[in-house]
Amino acid sequence: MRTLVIIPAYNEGGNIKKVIENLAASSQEVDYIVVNDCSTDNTDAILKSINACYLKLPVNLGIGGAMQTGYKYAYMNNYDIAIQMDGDGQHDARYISDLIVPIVQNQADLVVGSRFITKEGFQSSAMRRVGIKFLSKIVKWRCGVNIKDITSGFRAVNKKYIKQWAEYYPVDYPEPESMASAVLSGCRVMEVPVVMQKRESGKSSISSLKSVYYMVKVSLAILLCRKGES
Amino acid sequence: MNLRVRIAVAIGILFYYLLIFILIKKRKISLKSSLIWFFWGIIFILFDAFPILIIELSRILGISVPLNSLLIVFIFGILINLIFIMGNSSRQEEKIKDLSQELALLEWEYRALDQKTNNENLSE
Repeated sequence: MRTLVIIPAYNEGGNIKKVIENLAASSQEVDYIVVNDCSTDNTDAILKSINACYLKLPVNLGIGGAMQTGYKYAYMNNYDIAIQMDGDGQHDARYISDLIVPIVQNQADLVVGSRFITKEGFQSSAMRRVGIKFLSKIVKWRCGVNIKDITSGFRAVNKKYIKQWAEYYPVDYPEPESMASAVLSGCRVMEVPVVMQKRESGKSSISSLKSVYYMVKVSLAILLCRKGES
Repeated sequence: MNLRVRIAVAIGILFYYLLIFILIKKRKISLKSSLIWFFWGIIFILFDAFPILIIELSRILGISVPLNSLLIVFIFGILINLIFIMGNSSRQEEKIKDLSQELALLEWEYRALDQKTNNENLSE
């Protein structure tokens, strides 16, 4: 099955080369595309210098817009599986095969790399974990599915959801909402254990000041989300 | 409503329409997007020309000063217009996002084609 790894990158000049090298070193038979979300640092120059496969957005669309561009690329190039992987080095490419297997064996449509199954590696701060648990409860209440690591940006989807997410993908803080919308449309979700690393450089898109806004926005988005059309 | 207030409202409406006409003429706003403002202007003309309407509305709402009812209608009108503008802005945001994504995909295709041509030229 043709597999594409989508790596959204905004000002990831300090990480992106390592992420691509890590992917190449993992000797997975996958293609990749970096979506440079109009970075203002040297991300573009680095991507050019290493002759990486990348898309260059002319304006900053945020994580949702960048991810959707990746899904559009996957859909356009007829990929069977798309894997979302952060450009900040938090996700280890070794786990890609774990994400793919349930889709190949038709056991799941969406596979989430979860930090909270074996509870190894970077677990995020206590406050964030409370937030993640809260969002997870809302998703369970709204969609009837228990997804522990609801905000995980390390996940794989099959062709059906590549198409769905190429057509519509939430703009900001998209993971929980896109997951809820997929589940409402009958998506089979599975979580597999992964170990995540702490980001090495750069800033997380969710600062402490934004976290209140994040919680309100994402909770509302989950409560109001419609089932994805496919 | 006393005559002074009605004259002031009439002058206000006059300026309001004048501004809309000038902006349309200068093509700063489209006729389509100004239609909702036209509509609210008509509502105010009606209230100004027939004060009994606003007096009756005040009686129904239990507001003792009719001018307050006029202000409430005015604020409500602004809120409705804002929602329309927000809808318009969201649609435009969506279109800009789609265009940017298309542009990125086209740029990638162009780069791939360019690289292919360069490689072919080198091999010749």
